[in-house]
Amino acid sequence: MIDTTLAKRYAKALVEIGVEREALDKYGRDLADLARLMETSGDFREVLENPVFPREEKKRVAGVILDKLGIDPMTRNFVNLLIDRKRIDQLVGIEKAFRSEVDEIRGITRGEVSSATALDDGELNRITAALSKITGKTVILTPTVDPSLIGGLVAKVGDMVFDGTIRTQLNQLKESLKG
Amino acid sequence: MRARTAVWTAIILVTLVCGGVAFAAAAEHEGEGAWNVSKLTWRVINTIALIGLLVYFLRKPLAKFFSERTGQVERELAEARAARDIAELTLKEYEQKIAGMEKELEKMRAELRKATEMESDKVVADAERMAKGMIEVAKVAAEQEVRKAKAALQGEASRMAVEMAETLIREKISEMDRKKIFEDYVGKVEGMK
Repeated sequence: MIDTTLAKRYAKALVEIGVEREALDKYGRDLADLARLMETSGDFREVLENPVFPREEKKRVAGVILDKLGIDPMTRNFVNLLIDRKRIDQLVGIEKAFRSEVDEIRGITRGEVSSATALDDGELNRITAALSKITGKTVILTPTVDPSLIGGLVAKVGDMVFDGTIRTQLNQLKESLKG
Repeated sequence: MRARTAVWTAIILVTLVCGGVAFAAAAEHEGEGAWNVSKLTWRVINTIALIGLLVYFLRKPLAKFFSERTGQVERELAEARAARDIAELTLKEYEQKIAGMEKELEKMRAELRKATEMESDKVVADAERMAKGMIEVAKVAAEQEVRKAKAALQGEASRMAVEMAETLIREKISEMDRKKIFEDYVGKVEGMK
């Protein structure tokens, strides 16, 4: 289970070091690679999280993998620290918190936009620009296609939702007909 | 003890008297029915003496005996009266108690009748209240059922209408419509701030 408070604390520490060393992007990529590996490789996660394996064994296995991935020495130390403190199971949460911290520093907010048919780049840029103007931040949108929307699109940025789908309009119509 | 002495004295005297009478009778028999003054005189003297002795010896003991007997009888009579009085008192007491019990029983019967009537009234009142409540519940339930049926009908009608609209939109929507919807959406988002 991810402890968000704990993850934020570790992420913030790594962000501060990244800012000092101007290596935020590198640390971010390293953490993203490791988090993806933890999520996709059950064996890797088992070795790192299972308390049966001694710490040194975990560090040795992690070191081999990190070498292959070309992970930065600072990130490697960070992973070893998590192993020593038995917090390696929080790595995925730390990666999310790190991304969020970096976005906060850079004034970036992430969101997603869903439409019944795929948006072209021009449309995506226009909606991104419109949302950036509203939020006052640089918006990065992840587009998805959902044919059940029938037509129109819905964008979610932070806790804001901009819903212009025909599906929602039809639902509203149905509710109003029910009285 | 004195009574016993008196009894013995009486026995002796009776023996003497009987002896005197027997002697007189024998003498009379010997005289072969001839009237003899001296013999008669002797008999009278003898009888008087006998009576005198009887009176002398028996007067006091008999008087005492009868006096004591009288006292005893009076005491026994007094005790009997006292016992009778106690019995009468006890009888009265029991009569009073029986009378009280009858009153108590009557009171209990009255209370029981009253309680029964009250309970009966309460049961009737409760039944009426329950009946009213059940009628109200039934009314509310019926109204709810009607509302639910109406809502179900409306829901079904609206669902069908929306399905028809969706089918039509899917059939009729064009690329131009899609672009127009996008432009409207972006325009609304831009106009928010």
